[in-house]
Amino acid sequence: MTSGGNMYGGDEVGAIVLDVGSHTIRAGFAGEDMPKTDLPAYVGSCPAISAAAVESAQPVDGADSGAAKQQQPPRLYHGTNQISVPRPGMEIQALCKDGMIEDWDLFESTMDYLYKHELQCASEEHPLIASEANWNTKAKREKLCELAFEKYRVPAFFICKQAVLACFANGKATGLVLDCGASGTHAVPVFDGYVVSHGIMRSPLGGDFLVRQLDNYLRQQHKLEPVPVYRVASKTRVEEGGLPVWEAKKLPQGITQSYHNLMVKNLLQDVASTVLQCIDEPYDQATAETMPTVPYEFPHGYNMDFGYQRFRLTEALFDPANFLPESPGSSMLSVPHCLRTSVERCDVEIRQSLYSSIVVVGGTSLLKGFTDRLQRDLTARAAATLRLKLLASTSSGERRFASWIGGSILGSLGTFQQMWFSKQEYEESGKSFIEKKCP
Amino acid sequence: PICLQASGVKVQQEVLDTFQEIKTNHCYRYLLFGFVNNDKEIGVLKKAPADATYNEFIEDLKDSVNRKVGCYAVYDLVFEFEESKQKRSRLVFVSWGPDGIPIRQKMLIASSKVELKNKLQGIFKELQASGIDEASEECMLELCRQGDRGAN
Repeated sequence: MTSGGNMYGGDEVGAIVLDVGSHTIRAGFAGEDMPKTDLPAYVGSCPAISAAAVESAQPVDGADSGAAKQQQPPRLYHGTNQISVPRPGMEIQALCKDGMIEDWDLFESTMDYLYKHELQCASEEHPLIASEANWNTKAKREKLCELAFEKYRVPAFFICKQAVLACFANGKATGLVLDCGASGTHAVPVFDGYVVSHGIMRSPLGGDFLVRQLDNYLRQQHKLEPVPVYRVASKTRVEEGGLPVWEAKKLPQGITQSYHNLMVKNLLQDVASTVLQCIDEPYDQATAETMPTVPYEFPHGYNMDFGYQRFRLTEALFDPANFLPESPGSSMLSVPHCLRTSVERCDVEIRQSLYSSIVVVGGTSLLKGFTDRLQRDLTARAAATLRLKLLASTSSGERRFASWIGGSILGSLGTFQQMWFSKQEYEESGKSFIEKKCP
Repeated sequence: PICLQASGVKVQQEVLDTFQEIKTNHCYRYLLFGFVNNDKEIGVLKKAPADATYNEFIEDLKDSVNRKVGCYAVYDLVFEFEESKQKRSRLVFVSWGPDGIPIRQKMLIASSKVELKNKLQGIFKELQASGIDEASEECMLELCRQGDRGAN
């Protein structure tokens, strides 16, 4: 079979699409509308000794587990359900750092789990199309390529930048992709299907940041220590703002701090997505106070009404200098500033086309009022002749999984089948040839 | 040269031939190209005569929205240079991926564009539009005049 030929027939190739993010990993089959699974991008890692041994020992803090435990590899847990179970000594470990795969052992274990339990298929039977961070390194993409061919024995492989896939899925070869996700906000210019690397701008203002804001607010203003559901055995209904009355669940010893932190974070993410909203004009206390309040009941029974704070907490996305109590005058880039700076770093010839194709993706962009406020702030600062257009899908799936969906369609096009980096080409030319196949 | 990061969709010879005609003879007002043969190739959908108007062009774009597909166009725009009032004719490439068409169509339009545009040598300016307002005659004129100011 010659390389470049149509290796896999028509549109029904059954390629697997993999989109690795710092928060979750999306995987599924090319041609489908949505990924089969949206797996946490972290694993639970237990020392390889029996639970009984842990309990009979002195209270284990997890961090300083004995040398005896290092003789066997740790037992790893994947998927929200398994990770959520409180287990003695289980540490939560992230696969990615800075949006790129960092811990390859954990990543491999996650891929094994994906193929076996989530996709339930043999890796050697399906081509693999992967997305990569827009600033991924050459070494890391080659390593993924090598892993795909050597360990998973895929018949063909392809890799594409996340922003390019998101841009394509919105019908644009040129556009400014604004990805407002968990780890932060990235503005990535794409020109004729290529990422303009020197134009990439990043800001830490994203979903995790909002969760920290919310955590600070609850601890400082309400003296509330968020108690995740795993610690609660029962609760009694109390008045709004009243002291919570609850019974703690009896838990095994040695629950780790990293596990607890993750459970708190999951809880606060739920609070954030339930109550937070962006106000459509720059924050004004009097206006915010007239807006409807939203009640929230915590797992241990504490319940409260969120009032103007619903809007005040998100204002830092647009005005960090004035709305970050812990670091006044912050030099962090606001979301609109991040976007503008990214465009300004590009050639003056393409700026108008970037501004008229702003592709908004990422879970944090789903905050109510986010795109309206963004549009308002950009318009307020733009020249009158500038044409601005935001492309933001109304479907939350399309917004959260934009890159995966782009990969899904690309991988299912009949004509794309000749574009793969085939096993044969890999064997003839090696992993560095990926640069030529997927520039 | 093959463009690697793309859909793999092929460009039919007729597209290149009609483009050559509009470029050298200015015998059409505009050309429409789209996906044919089960989306495997880009072919010629329409050759509008030289006396066609901009409104007809807009009607064609609207029609493609109704049919839930995107398309490409090459428009032969005649306009006056602002200062010298000198008349000139310029080819504008339009990539039309309107809001509301299926994502698969959007993907095809975006990921096949570079391959097509690279084969059309002699394009003066390029317009990427997803709404009728962005494809208006005004927009196109403004785009071309900007370019001419720079060139002169």
